[in-house]
Amino acid sequence: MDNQNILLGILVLALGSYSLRLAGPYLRQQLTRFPNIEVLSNELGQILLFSLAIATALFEANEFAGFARLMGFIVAAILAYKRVPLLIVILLAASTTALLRLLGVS
Amino acid sequence: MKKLIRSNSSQLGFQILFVCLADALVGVSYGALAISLGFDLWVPLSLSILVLAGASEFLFIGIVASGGGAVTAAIAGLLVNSRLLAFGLSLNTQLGKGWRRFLGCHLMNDESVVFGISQPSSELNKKAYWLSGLGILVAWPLGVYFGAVLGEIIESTHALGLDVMFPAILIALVLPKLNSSTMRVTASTGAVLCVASTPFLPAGLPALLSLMGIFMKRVTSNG
Repeated sequence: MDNQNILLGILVLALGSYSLRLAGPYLRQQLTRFPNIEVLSNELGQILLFSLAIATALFEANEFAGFARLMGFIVAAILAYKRVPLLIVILLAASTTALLRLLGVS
Repeated sequence: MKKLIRSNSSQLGFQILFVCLADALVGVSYGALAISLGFDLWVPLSLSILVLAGASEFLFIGIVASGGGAVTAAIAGLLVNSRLLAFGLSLNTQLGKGWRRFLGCHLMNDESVVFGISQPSSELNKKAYWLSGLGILVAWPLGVYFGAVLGEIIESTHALGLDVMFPAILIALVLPKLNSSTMRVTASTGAVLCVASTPFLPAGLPALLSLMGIFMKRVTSNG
């Protein structure tokens, strides 16, 4: 592999990612004269995070991630709905997934 | 950082510590993967510090390893990271002022944004954002380094069910926020759009498509 090329790729990705990070807050400041932008952007954030939760529970690189992870996630969702503390949610979700894999479920 | 933890509820510090640990473990498997694909340590390590966005780093490494061009791989990574722009729209005071803001922006990632918008006050939001952001800035490259040194541990992190941690944390943090039927409808629509498009679109785009769920707001408030 050509090190110089890889370095160029890393720099493009790093600078581009940083620009994307700078752009969001900057755009938000430009948009403050519009009413409800705060509420709207907060709602967009929640939609994005909820969708990300479901998607990362189901998929690994565009393919189904398996029932073990999905079941662990469902356990997490039920416990979270019951307002169980986060630490317990995480531990029980991971245990569920690990146990299912031990039993041979992918 | 110690001061931040003390002045905060121990609950929050504990949550952040746990997320950082989970991230470090993912970093370990990523470092091991990069080495096994034939990269030198400096490649995953510099990516982990300069890019600091896991999914795009995996993609970059994967495309280059399978023979793709480095710039093509970088563009694919940027597509995945386009969600950072949307994330930034929901951040303001969390990022701080002056020169700190430039570091604050670099700390932006899935985890720090989740913590930074889910606290009860804007002051706590800022603390949670910085604490988790700095924690991950340390934990992620450290994990990558150890992974590269230790070699293959991918199988064991999978067997321990650690891959369910990220979605589990997301749902636990976001569910209490979906407290109106309008929010539940818009979020569910977004999730359906995201999931339905995932098999067909490049990674990162489905998450952006989910934002279209906001248009359900008008439907529910009119009907």
